[in-house]
Amino acid sequence: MTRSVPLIYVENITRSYENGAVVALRKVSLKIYAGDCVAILGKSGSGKSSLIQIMGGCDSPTSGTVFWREEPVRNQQEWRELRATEIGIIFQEFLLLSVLTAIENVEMALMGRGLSAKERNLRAAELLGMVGLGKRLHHLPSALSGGERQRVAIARSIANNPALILADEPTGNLDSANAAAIIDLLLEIQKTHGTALVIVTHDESLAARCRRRVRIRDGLIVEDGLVLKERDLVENIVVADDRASSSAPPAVVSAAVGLRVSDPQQCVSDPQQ
Amino acid sequence: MNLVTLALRNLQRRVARTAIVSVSVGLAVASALSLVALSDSIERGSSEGMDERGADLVVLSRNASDVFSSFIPEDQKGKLVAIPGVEAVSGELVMFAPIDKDKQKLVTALESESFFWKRMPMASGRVPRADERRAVVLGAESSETLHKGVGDKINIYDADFTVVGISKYQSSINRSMVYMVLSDLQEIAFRQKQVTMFQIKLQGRPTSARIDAIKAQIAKIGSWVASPTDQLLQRDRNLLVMKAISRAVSLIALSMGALSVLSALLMAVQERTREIGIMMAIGWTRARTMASIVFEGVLIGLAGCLTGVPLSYLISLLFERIPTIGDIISFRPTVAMVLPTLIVSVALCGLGSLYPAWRAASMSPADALRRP
Repeated sequence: MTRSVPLIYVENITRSYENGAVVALRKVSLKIYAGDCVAILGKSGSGKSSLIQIMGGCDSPTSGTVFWREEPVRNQQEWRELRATEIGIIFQEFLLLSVLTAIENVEMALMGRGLSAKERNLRAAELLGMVGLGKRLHHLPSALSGGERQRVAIARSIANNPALILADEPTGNLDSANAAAIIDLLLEIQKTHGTALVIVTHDESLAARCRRRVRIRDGLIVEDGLVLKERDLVENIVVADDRASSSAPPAVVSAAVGLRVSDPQQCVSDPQQ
Repeated sequence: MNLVTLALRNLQRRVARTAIVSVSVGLAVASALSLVALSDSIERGSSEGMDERGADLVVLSRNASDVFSSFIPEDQKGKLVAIPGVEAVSGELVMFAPIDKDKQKLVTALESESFFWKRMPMASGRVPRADERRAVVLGAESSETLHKGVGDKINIYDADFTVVGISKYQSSINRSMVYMVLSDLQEIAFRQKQVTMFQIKLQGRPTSARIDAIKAQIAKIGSWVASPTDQLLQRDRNLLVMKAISRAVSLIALSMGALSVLSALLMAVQERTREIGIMMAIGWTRARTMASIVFEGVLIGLAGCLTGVPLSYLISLLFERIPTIGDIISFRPTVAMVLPTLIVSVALCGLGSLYPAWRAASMSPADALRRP
């Protein structure tokens, strides 16, 4: 996969509700590349959640097309297949099945992938170990803290080695300490696996830890650019051409829709670094 | 973890509801099984009863819609005796008769020289002597339910009889029978010179070809029909109607059970909309999402069967002890009946869960996840 081919491309997406009375997205286009780390920012009701739901195929656009590796995704069956193999989704409310233990919740995502029950169990245990829940495998969600539940949801989302993780306000229901830990975990996964990560948030500090920032206002993308540390700004200024802003770090290379950079590990592990 | 585990956990989260729906399915299964057993027991019981008494063929009037409406002149017996291969023929009058004014019992009257008297196994007492009048032999169950033993008096059609023996037949129909001499019943029931049927004992071990040949000869004699004992009630109109009714009522009962499954699962799907949304969001196919819900219906069906089968046995035992029912009918579900009933009830519960499952799988993940 070359960097020139977007992993997912939403083209001229419009999403309206109530027979057009409410328009959440207006002809929005966005390209996400393999290994991208993108924060989608916006106020409540700006359309960011609608966008991420359409990117995951959980919702259908009123008009426009979504391309996965340059192929249009035509129906729910194709979306289901993508969500089962290529796209992992994380929600603000964790959305775990309350009757299943942590390991069973992760195993759910591995069903239908040609693995035996034992293989599913081993893989789920490995994933939960990876997110720091090796000793909480058999706990029900009700016995886990908010941070732990989100870790289970993260383990579930990466169960099938997705190329893209969509996280819809993953820290929205967490305290600051847990939120930081969850973001660290997501960025670590993004870094080590080269997975593209799209995080919807209204938290500017969280967004600053992602290399690329997309801001939505009233259903329109009003900003799409790189968040660069001062050092990166110098390295990437050539790539960004003369469109880059020279404002104080973290700087934004603004209006560079679908901007490509050479470094696939784009997320800033620690904004204070 | 698999789909069955998920279905089980989902059922466990609403224990009371699952139990209530399972019991309602169980009651439907018990009703269906009891009805099927009831109609089957009449047919099987009659056949077993004839077999136990040693008959090979039973001759009834061709025009009779059921056994009790069969009338054959007693003097026709000679024509049957003359058929080569026939060892013995016994005329028999069968009817429900009032016993001690308020109880109805099946009474079989046999010729005093009938080979059946000689073969009748006795628990106590004896069979009526050739010239003896107004003497009866009770089946063991009749003896119990009528509280009569050897030497006791019994009133049939306002005529007094003496119990001279208790038979020890094993089949339920023979156990619940009252036996008397043919001429006695003909007299008190105003059926002089008539029998309901002739029972034929063939020589040696008859092959099916020989039985068919004898049946053909009997058919030529008059408007009679000869049947092996296991086919005796095949043409019995009353039994056919009863079987049709019992099957229809069984199906209605099972459908009611399936409807309760449908209603419970619709409610469950409504409650678990978000969780169904999660399944879709992680890429579960429609088929797998539906299967997880259909499994719940099937598990309720199985739980219902686990309740319903023992319940049907309990019902059969209970009914035997209710005089107004037990004096007239007796039935017991068999393993052969249980299996088809289980298959039908589980299939209906699966069908009942298809609609809720389809509704669940038809939601868009976004809609499902938006629900509170």
